[in-house]
Amino acid sequence: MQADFWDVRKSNTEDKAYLIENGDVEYISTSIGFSVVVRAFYDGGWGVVSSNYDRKTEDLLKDAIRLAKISSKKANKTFLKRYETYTTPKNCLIGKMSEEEEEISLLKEIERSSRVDKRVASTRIDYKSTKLDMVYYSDDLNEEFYEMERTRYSIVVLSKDGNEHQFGSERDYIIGGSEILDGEKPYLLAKKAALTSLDLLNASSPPSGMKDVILDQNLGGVFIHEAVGHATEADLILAGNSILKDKIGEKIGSLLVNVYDDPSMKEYGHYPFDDEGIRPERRLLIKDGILVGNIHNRETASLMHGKPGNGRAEVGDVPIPRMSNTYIKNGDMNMDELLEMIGNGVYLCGSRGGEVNTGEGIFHFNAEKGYIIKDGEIGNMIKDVSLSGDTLTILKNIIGVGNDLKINGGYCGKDGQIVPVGSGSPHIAIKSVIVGGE
Amino acid sequence: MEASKIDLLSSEGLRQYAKKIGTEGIEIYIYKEESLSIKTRCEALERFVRDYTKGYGIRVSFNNSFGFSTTSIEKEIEAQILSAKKNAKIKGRDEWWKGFIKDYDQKDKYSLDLGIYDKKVEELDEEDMMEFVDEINNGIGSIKGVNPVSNSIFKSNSKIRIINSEGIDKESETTMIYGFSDVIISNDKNNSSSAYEFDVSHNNNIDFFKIGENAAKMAKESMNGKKIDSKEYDIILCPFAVSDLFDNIFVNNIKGDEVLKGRSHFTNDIGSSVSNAGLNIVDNGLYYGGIGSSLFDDEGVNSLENIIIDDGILKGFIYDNYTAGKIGKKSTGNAIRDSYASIPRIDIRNLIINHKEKGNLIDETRDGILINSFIGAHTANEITGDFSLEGKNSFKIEDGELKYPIRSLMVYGNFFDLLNKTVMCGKDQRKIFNIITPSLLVKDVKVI
Repeated sequence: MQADFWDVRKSNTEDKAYLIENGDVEYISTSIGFSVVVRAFYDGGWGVVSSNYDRKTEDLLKDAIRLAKISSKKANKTFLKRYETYTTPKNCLIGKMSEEEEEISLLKEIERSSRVDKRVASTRIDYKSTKLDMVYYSDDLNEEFYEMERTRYSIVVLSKDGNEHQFGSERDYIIGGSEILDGEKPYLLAKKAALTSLDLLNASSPPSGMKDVILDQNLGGVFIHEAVGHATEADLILAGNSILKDKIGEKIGSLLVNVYDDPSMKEYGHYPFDDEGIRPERRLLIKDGILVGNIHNRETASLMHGKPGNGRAEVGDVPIPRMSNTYIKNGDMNMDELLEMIGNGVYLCGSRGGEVNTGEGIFHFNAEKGYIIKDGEIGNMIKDVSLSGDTLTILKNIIGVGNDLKINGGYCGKDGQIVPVGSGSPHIAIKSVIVGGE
Repeated sequence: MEASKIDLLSSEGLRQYAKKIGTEGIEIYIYKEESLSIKTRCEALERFVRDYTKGYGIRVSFNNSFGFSTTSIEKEIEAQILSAKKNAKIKGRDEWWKGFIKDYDQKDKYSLDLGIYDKKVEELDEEDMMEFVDEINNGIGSIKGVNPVSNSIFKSNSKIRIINSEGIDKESETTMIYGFSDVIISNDKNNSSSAYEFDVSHNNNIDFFKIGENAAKMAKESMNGKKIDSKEYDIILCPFAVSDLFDNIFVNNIKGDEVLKGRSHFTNDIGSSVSNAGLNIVDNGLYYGGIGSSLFDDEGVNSLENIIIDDGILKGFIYDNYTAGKIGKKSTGNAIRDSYASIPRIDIRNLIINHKEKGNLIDETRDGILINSFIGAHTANEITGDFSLEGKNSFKIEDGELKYPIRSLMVYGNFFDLLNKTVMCGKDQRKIFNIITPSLLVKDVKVI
């Protein structure tokens, strides 16, 4: 049995996770796992067979080819281009390794720095570290390897005053290991989370309606990832599910907007090669407000004459076009200039999550907190503030881009698969945005 | 360490091995699944995926504490038991940890048929799945101008076995089939409208044509939406929207551990009125055909039906074995594992929402809005209940009639207020995974 193309991805994983609530260890968990994913492409159709325990690769490949052939009966007859892969020396991105006891006792100390006030009612620290050992080969038989460790934690502080409850949270994500707990940073973050929750207890509800706003780097990053980045993913474009369909070369945003996706950057979304064996490079998505690029895997790159390198998958799953580290390039304004430009409006910080409809170009985000901007000055804190609107309108309404780019790590879900990403932005000023509140 | 003579996948073997390594007990949760899925891009088939998953979730009781470890590799079980023992030691003494559930607590063996296994689902092959895709496409095709973005069908057969050194050894087998369709309609003015529909069942009884047809109708009817005035309206929350809110806010507030830690809005409310007097909510692990149904939970505790809200009065919370032990209660059978690699936590089985007053909700509404689902429901503040959410596939209602689609609206409110303002439910109860609910009519909600 022959296929037009086949490949094999094998990974071994080692995880550890701690949950610490109110200074007590709730649980400690350690895992080891394995997974193999075999794909075959035949005359437009894919067959994929995966397993997380030992089964013969040859048997899985035979089944994958069979499934690809069945699939091709009702697939679009397409052609898969060949892309070069390389035999590489093993990439090793493993961080510092401390004993569990040591990490736990550090985390307990870190937790104590969030106890800044009697109104701090409860705290929760989630810590997780994942080591991934990856092998990739395809029918050209070049094998590629890497070893990579990712570690992250989050601190959530809940404060209470009478019937009022508010959260503050901070997190850190790195490629590496125990060094994430080195230095002052975790203590400062724990304290900051607590202060946010306390400040929110006295915060007022936001004004609602059309406002001029400034987004901080975190929320700006979430906006560019969710509202713009997803719409540049080629599989969504091919499915007719993106407002950026057929818009390459068109002006879709303000002249100030430049957006990159860069897997080679050593931020949280980094990978030495993608889950289809392709070595990635930096991709320009929006140049001076003009859409110039899309996010591709092997298949969509073949169909749309693009460049692959963003075929990513959760361990054990199928690679699809995904972002890596996505960010808005620095502009030349500082924060004071942005505030002066906005004059009166709302400053929105942090993200409690969001959701986007890429087909209609509508998005909705909740900020962790916000501030009133009055006469170019940051004023009172506001809570439960959300931001929603039309992606294309917002892109056109960006009137100021700061010079303080910051990229944050995080996770992104699509088609039920969760992958690590980085997203970032400098502070950005946007006019006429719908802000939700009372 | 020599365990070769001990069968670690038996209750007696675990008892012997626990003794041998000086621990108080061992529990192994074994999960095995085989699945097949199919996905299209637009109408055309894109891929078939077959998956084999197997894994072991291990808890070890040691020094009045417990540790957790997992593996997907059978020959690593012994090493992972030792790793879990070490994790228990590092965690340190936990006065609330009372060990695993015991055989004699679980005497009343259920032998109910819960409608969670169907051999016909297990037997479905690739050709059957392709026919189902055709049916979805035909359903979409029956509504002019609407196109599929992506359709997918997933079917699985899974076995769970829970063994512990206290004599528990239980097994359960389920099948599942799921169909999903995401559609879009666009006009030449660059206006577009999208919608999705799905159905999920343990049995081979899904109407795939209907999935496509419903999604397509919804997208078409939502086309060319208008703006509405910002003010208070009566709103009809359709089952998707109800499930969005309950899943992201309510469920967190009835979990026993959140209640004990003071992170529930309902902490001191047992016996008090927390909603409109007509509202009734139960969580039932034995609901026939329910997605969350099985004879026992993920710790092996027999499933139960638990009343949460009875005629507006808060009656109870949900617990696993560990949290129930803290307050001298019995587990309500609500220990859930997201996968073999996740530690058991408290969650709902099948949450069933009902209201005493039933009627045709559109007929009852003079000036209101019907909201099919929400965008971004996970951003709600789960403790205070405050939310501001974008409605999707929403329609204006005037004098008992659906008038026109709404392009964009934001609902601003507090979930717990909404419970008090829920005055009636529709007759359209449906299963949104493990939340089973009709549409709800809620009075005076702020819409921007």
